[in-house]
Amino acid sequence: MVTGQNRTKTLLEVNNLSVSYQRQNEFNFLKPRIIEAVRDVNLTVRKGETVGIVGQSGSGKTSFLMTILGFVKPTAGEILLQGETVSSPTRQALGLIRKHIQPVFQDPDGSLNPHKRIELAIADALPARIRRNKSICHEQVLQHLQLTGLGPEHLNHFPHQLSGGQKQRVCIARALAREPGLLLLDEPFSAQDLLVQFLLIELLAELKKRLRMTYLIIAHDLRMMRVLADRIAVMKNGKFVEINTVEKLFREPQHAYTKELLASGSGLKTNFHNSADEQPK
Amino acid sequence: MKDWYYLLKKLWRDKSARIGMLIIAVVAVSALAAPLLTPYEPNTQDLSIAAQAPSFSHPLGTDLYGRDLLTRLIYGARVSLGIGLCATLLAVLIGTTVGLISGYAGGWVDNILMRIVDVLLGFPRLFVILLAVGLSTPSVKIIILILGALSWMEIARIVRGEVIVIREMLYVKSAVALGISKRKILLEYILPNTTDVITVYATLLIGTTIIVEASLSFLGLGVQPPDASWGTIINQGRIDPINAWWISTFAGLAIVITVIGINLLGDSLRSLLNPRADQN
Ligand SMILES: Nc1ncnc2c1ncn2[C@@H]1O[C@H](COP(=O)(O)OP(=O)(O)OP(=O)(O)O)[C@@H](O)[C@H]1O
Ligand SMILES: [Mg+2]
Repeated sequence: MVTGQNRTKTLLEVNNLSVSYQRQNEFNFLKPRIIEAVRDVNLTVRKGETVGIVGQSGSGKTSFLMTILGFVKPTAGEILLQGETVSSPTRQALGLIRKHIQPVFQDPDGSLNPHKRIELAIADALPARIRRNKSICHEQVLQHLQLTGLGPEHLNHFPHQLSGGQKQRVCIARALAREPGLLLLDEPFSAQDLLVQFLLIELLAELKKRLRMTYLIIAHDLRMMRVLADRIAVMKNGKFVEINTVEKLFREPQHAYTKELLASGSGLKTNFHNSADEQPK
Repeated sequence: MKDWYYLLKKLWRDKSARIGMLIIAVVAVSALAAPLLTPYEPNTQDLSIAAQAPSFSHPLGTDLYGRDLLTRLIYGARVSLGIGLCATLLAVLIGTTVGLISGYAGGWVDNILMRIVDVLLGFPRLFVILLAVGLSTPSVKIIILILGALSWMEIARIVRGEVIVIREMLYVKSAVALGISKRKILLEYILPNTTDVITVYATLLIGTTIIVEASLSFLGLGVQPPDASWGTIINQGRIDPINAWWISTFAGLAIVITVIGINLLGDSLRSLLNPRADQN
């Protein structure tokens, strides 16, 4: 059981969470196909901790994240944020989620309003009192943008004028501008070259130290997780088959699937593959 | 601003859009500059030169009251285009508002609004328009109101459909996650992304409205003499279509050419502004 003292340190608690989608059944329209994307998942994230989720494509990682954000309703189980239930979409619950959690979605191309310039997109994440003062707002937007390695020349661009990797960084800058306690990152570096990956990893580590930020990071890249995460959850077919600290997981993996992942060296392959997407400038 | 510049440039490269824009520009400019283009008064009668065939001093002839037909057509363009534009604007305003609310709110709000749309679309439109015009004293303002108030339903449906798709986009989810207000999300994240479809449909609607207005005026229910719209001019030509053939012919041509121009532009806009392809 969680003691009172421990409870304050626990930021996010997920108990027996299940998520399923209904899909049209091509053969029998009266009986929709049920896809169980997340099955009976438990996870506790403490403040200041970095938890990684790895697993192959379709294992339910994004569904898990969308449920935490309140965009998908769980079929069973509960989610607690700072000890309060947020898994039923009440006004209060959603308010709490919006206040403390920011996501960076997997698809950077779809995550930015095509009709909003970068400066305004990031400004929208700033509090109203800052937005009211033009010069302060401009300065803060620029600061956040520069944290992610982009510069003032991008402020006036529309999203379609940026590369996928640049858009991804704008999304990270925007999420950070909101100063969330918990940042959910869905494949955050997938379109970045190695140099930018290091920059971003350093940025996250720095913020973690300075602001005690908490991260939940999804990746199918185990090698990057080794650098970033304190604990790793391995997901397969909607289930967490193993949750362990990074050292333990790499030293003595418990589950066969984890061993498989480690053996396949997916990390190396993914990094190599992705670095070709965007050449360092 | 830049957006518009690029769009114009792209349109100019498209042959049918170019023709359409040129036609519209000629009609619109002559409507705006009417007093500068012609020495004649549109409404001053001179029965001594009534019903004269096209000649050097009256290139398109004169009407049954001795008024220069070209002058009447140019001034008529003001009325016909003006009604087409204003009624379309009104329809876009109503339709977009209804569509945005319906698509974003969902639930019973959506249900009620869409049933109203269904009912309104269920009536034969020309019949309702004729009835409404017949029951009122026709004036340009009333015609604009009636045409606008009875043409917004398709726009509402189209916008609603777009909103339902856009609502699920990650950039809207991002905005929601940022805690941005519903109003701002609707106005800054959803509305701007529906403008492409609205532009296409509105352009085509201007053409339709010009034809409907002409039909009303032709039936004597629209713009009242001595003011002229293209429809009233055709109506006058009806009195002696054989001997004074030029009256209806040129007024009819004005309508046909203008509407073709508008449709050429509208169709090019449709293929250029394919909303699913605009990200690149
Ligand atoms: N909106 C949805 N409607 C129906 N089914 C969905 C939906 N979203 C995801 N699924 C299904 O749920 C399962 C889990 O998908 P999810 O996107 O969570 O996987 P993932 O681990 O994020 O994969 P990837 O690494 O490719 O992003 C898949 O089988 C997918 O087809
Ligand atoms: Mg995913």
